[in-house]
Amino acid sequence: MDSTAPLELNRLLLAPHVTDREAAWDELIARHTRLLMAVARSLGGDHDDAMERYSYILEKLRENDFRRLRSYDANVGATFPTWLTVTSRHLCLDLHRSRFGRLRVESGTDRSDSLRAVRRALLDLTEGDTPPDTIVDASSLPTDGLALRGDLDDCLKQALVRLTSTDRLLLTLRFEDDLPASRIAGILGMPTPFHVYRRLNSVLAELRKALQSRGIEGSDG
Amino acid sequence: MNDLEIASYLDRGLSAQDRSRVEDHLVECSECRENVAGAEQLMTKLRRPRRLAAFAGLAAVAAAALFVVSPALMRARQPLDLVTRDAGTSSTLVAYEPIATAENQSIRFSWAAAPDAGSYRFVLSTPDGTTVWSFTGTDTSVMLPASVTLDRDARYVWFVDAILNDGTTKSTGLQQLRVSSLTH
Repeated sequence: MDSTAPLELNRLLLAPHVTDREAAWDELIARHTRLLMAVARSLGGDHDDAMERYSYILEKLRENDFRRLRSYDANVGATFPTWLTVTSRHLCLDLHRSRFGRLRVESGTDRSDSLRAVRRALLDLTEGDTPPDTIVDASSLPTDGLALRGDLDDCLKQALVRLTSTDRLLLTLRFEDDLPASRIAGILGMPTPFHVYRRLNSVLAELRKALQSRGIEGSDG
Repeated sequence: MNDLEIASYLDRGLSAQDRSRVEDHLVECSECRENVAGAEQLMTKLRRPRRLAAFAGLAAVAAAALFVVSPALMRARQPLDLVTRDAGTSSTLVAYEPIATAENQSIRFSWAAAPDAGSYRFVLSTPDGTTVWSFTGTDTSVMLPASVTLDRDARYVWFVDAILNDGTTKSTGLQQLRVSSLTH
C-alpha cells in the first residue's frame, strides 16, 4: 500500500489482528458513509433500494480480504474518494445488472446523428448569429435541407481524426451524448461552461476551415 | 477502462499520454463515457456540501482559537457556538459541549436529536484524522469508555453523523476538544 493512501485505508489493510481490522473498517466506513450513501441513492428507487445497494457495496468491499480496496493505488493518480465513488457506483451497476439486466446507456444520439449535429453546428457557425449554447441542439436538426451531403461525412471524419483527443471527446459529449456544457466542463476539467462553449466554437471553426480547404462549403451545397 | 483509470482521469492525475489514450477510448466507448459522466456528476454533488463543511471546519478552528473552554462551561451543557449554528444551515446537527464526569473522569458527548434519525455515528479522532474511538448507536449521547485514554495535553476533534431513515445524513461537523480543560 502506498504511503500516500489515506490513513484509514492503510490502517485497515495493514492491521495485524482481526480486532484491529474491524476497528479500522468501522473507521473507514464512518469516514465515507456520506459518499457511499450518495452513490447508493444515485441509481434511484426508494430508501430500501438505496440501503440494499449500500449493504451490497460494503459486502463487496470486504470480499476476499478487501481485494477491491487493496487494488487502489494512489500512485496512479486518483484520490481515494474519487476511486471509491467510481468503484462503489460500478458495484451498484453490477447489482442492478444482476437483477434487471444491463442498464441502457443514456445517449442522446447515435454516431450518425452526431455527425449530422456537427454539420448543423458548422452551418450555424457560418451564419454567425447563433448563441454558442444553442448551436448543438441535436434534437432540433431538420431531417433534410442540410447542405452538406455525400462526401462531406468522409471529409468530416478525416478532419475529426486530426483533432486532439480532448476536442474529439468534447464533440462526442456534446453532440452524441447531448450533455450540457456544465457537465462537460466537469468531465474535461474546464473551469466553466463558457470555456466549453468557447472551445466548441473554436473546434467547429477549425473543422469548417479544414473542410473549406478541401473545397467543401457547408452552408449552401 | 478500469475504475482506477476512470478515477485518475476525473482527478486529472494521468500523464498527458495516458490522458490522451483514455480520451481516445472514451470517444469510442459509450459505456465508459457513461461511467465517467455518472461518477463526475456524483462527485459534483458531493463537493457542494463539502465546501460548506470545509468552511464550517475552518470556522470551528477559528472559533476554537478564540474560545477557551473553562471547566464551568464544560459542565454548562450549552450548545457549542462553533460550527453548526455559524454555518447557518438547518441540515446540520447541533453538538453540545462534552461533559467531564466526576465519578470516573470520563467524558460524555451529547448532541441534539435529528428527526427521523435511524442511528448516530460518533467518531473521536486526533486532528490528523486518526480515529481514537468510534461508536454507532441510537442514543443522542455517548460516554467515552474508560479503556480509552486521552492525553491531557493533546487536542482532539469529534463529530457525529446522523443517518436518517431516508438515507441522508446530518453532521455536527468537526468539534474541538481540549482535554486539558477537563477538570472536575
